[in-house]
Amino acid sequence: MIRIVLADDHQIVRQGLRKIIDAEEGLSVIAEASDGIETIKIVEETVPDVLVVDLMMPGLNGLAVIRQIVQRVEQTQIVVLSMHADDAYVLTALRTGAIAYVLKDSPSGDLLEAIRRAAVGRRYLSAPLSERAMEAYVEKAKSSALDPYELLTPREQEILQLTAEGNTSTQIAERLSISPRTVEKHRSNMMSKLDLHVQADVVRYAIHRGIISSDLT
Amino acid sequence: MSDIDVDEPRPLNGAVSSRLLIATVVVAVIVFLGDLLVPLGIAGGVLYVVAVLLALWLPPLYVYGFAGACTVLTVVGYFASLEGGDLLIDLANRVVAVFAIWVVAILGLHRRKLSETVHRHGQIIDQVQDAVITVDMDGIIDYWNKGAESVFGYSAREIVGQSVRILYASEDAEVVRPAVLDRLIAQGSAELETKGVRQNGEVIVIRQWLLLRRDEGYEPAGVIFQASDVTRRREVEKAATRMEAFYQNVLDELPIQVAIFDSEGRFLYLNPASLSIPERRAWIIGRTEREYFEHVGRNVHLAEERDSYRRQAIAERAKVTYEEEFETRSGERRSYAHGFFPVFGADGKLDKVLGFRYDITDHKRTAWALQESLARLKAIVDTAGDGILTIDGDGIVESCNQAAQRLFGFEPTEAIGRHIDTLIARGGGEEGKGFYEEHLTKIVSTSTPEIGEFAGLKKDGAAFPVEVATSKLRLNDQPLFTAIVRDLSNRKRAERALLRYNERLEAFRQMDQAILTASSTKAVASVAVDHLARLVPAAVVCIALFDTAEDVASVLSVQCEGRSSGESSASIRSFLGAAEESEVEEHISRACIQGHVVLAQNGSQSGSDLGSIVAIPLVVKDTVIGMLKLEARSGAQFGSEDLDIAREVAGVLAIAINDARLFEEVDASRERMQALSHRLVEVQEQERRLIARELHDEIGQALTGLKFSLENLEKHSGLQTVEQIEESRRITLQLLARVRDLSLDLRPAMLDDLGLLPALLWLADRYSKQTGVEVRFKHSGLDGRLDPDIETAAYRIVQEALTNVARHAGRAQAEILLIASAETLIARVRDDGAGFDLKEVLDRKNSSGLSGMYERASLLGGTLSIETERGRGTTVAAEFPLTADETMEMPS
Repeated sequence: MIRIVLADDHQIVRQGLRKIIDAEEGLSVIAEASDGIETIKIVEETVPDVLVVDLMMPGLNGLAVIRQIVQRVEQTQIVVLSMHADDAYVLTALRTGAIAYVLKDSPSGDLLEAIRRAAVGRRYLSAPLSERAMEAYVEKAKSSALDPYELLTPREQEILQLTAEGNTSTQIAERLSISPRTVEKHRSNMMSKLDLHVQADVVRYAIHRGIISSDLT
Repeated sequence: MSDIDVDEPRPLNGAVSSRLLIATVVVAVIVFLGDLLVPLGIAGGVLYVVAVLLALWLPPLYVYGFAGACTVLTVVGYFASLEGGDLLIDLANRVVAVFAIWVVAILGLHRRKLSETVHRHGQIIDQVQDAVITVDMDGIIDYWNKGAESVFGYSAREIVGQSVRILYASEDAEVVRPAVLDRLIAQGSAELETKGVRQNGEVIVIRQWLLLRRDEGYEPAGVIFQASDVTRRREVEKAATRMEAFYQNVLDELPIQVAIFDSEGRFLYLNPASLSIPERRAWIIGRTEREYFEHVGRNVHLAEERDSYRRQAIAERAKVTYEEEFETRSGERRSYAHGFFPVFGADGKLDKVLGFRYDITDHKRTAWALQESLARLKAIVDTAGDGILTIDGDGIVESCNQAAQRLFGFEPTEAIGRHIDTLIARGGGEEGKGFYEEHLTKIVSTSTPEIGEFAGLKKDGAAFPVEVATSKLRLNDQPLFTAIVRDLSNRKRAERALLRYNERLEAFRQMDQAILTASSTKAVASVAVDHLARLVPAAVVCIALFDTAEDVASVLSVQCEGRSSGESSASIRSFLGAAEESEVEEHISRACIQGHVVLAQNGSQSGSDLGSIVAIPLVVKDTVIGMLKLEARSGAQFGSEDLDIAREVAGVLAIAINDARLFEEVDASRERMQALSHRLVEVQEQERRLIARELHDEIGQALTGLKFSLENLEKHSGLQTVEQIEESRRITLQLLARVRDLSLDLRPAMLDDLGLLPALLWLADRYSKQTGVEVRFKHSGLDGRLDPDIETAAYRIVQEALTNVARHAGRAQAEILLIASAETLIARVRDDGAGFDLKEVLDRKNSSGLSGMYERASLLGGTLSIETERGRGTTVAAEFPLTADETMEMPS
């Protein structure tokens, strides 16, 4: 018998779930909780096999609840039942300590399957979610090593090139039909973004980046 | 002349003549006695002749004396002698004798005189150095004097009787003779110079005067030669001529003007330096200077002046020099040294006068200049404002100028001879050592003066500050010090005043600066009070603003004996210490008129208008907004300078306080505005959050519940209903999805739950799916959570920018760049789409999207920049400042 605690702030959702779970063999809802703090209290008291928890709850949000329970009650496996199908949520929930993630709009069979797997310590994700999608998201959410050159606006990139080619502010201004003061402003922005200090640095950087070829000098 | 008898009687010298006299007398007496005793008869008288003859060697008087005596004796003898003969014959005899005596005496004397003359002439001729030679008409020499012997070398014995020709050089002898003789015969004398030959063959130049000698019949009997050897003289003369030529040359070339005048002042010579034009020079010879001046039309006065000096030189028989100044015709003033030098001949008579003149203008000018510069130097020293002293090596004052006398209060010359230590007190240093020992003797350098400040001592002993520049120099190997003494009293006073003024200015400047940077009226007042307490000797400085309507004086800042205390308030009446309400108005109006009002006097000085408690109004636009109150320390009064300072401060203060007040008002309203606008955004977000949560949680959950119950129903129902239920469930799901989208559009819960990065990643994903715009997402440093306001703002800005891309950029690529560092968060959205004219869009003023972005960034202290141009894409960049505590650990 898998002992289950349901945590959702909506009575109607809890009722619906309880009917579905109780109808199954070997599954039993032993307690319900309607907010985060209550959830923690009940789980600590009852130590269920599986906690089905909504991520959105008043008082203490689902993620915080998961963190607390993972720390305090090791035996209880956590199944997240959420409306959020977003990878970010899924990943965060899994990282926080949930073992399964079930979308509320997926067929109820998914949840039962998830509870069964969770009870034996196996991961479960609802149909639209997959491990691969998770990995892709992790990849996307990883900080990209930013090239400071990327920070430059197109204007600043132009001015970098023209400056490196040896043009004066006035020449650049004429070329781009803007005022020399604007050129100066762009150039000082460009140099501070690239952490360059003198004209020679600009030329060196431009050569290094292949913006101008070194035999120009 | 050859028959001159050298034995002719001549007067003898004394001893011989007295013996002769005795002998003569004896002879005369013997003859007389003989006559008496032996009648001598006729012969008797004649014997006297012997005596007379003897007497001829005596002086003529004796001769006549003897002749007379013999005559008397003869007469006496006639009567006294023994008669022997015929008396008559005897008488006749005796007459003859007397006659004979007298004839002998007279003739003898005459003869003697003649012979004496001849003898003397012969002696003279012999004495003469010239040769005197006489020859007969045949040229045979018959006389040859000693001079001739020395001239020609022959003695008289050798040459007399020989022809005169041997004396001449052969070539001259023949030529000269006939011509000379003819001339001699015609003229009686001739003068010529020929060459002669001496006995030793030496040829000499002889100058000779020839005189024709005639015999009694006036026939030429011979020639007398007077000849002299002029060889030497001629040589000398030749040399002299050469010398003269030389001198002439010298004179001609001499740059000094030289003229030679005769005794009458006529020019004998004039060198070219005197008169350059040869014609004029020629003309002037023989004329006087005056004549020349008249001739050339110059003022003769100068010539007369020169004449007078020339005459003076002649009269004094000595050189006379003087300086002559005149203007040249070109008007230039020139100076000359002029002199006359009389030259006297051997006879002592004036021969000529040498005049000389040379230009000394330059010399004079130098002298004048020197004199002038000396005078000027003296004048400078005397008129110098600084005292100038010279001090000898022992410290004794040698000289001092007028300024020094004034400075030390001395009469002229009184300071001289004093020791310098009595004038200048030593400046510190060892005890017992004066200025001299301490300072003067230590001067080593002789080039740069040493400057120090000392105390000067007036004659009456009063001390005053002086600056002394001392230098050492050596004069005639003696050390000499010069001290230039400057009275520093005025300067010190001025320095102090300047320093005070400077302090005041600096304080004002600081105050102005502080007031300008102070933002609140309280800060302004406190700065002003601080500075004023330093500038004015006040015990209490107090600034209060008046609210006349409420009769409240709110004290902004008080400083009491260096301690500041904060705000308080009182009634205006008590602030001013007025007894009556009417007094308050009186004080204020007086303060406005006078610029200050005295609230209390100290002690008996009630006549003074500077009191011990003074209030100065703070006036802005003719309204007294408050007052600055100063209380003097007990027993003290404020000076007019203090009041000036206080008034100036009050002037600045009034404006600053007014500005600060306005600033505070503006600031307050701006803050209100900002708070309002912030609140607006917050409310909007709150609203959206509520609605989103409502949609999501309530409606969404209800639908979820509905869905589960439908599923339950499905399990326990028949087939037909199953289809119906299935339909209901599908609709429910659609509804659910729609509600979720709506909720997310309003405000993604993810932003609150998971933070900015997940929310934006989700947004970008959804955006790409919805619009087909490809989005590249780059981020860095966003591992933690940020301030929720900033997260919201950044999210909204990116959202808006992406919306704009989809709306305007056409088919494009977009790039989101998100960088968080410790200090800033940069969110940038860039597209390569069509771009737009930013100015135009902003000017339209209906672009709530763009202005909303600006607003959100600026509310959080950030900046937003939009860089775009038609055809060049658009870059929207927002930058938010982060403070350290705004990044929180991401729950993990």
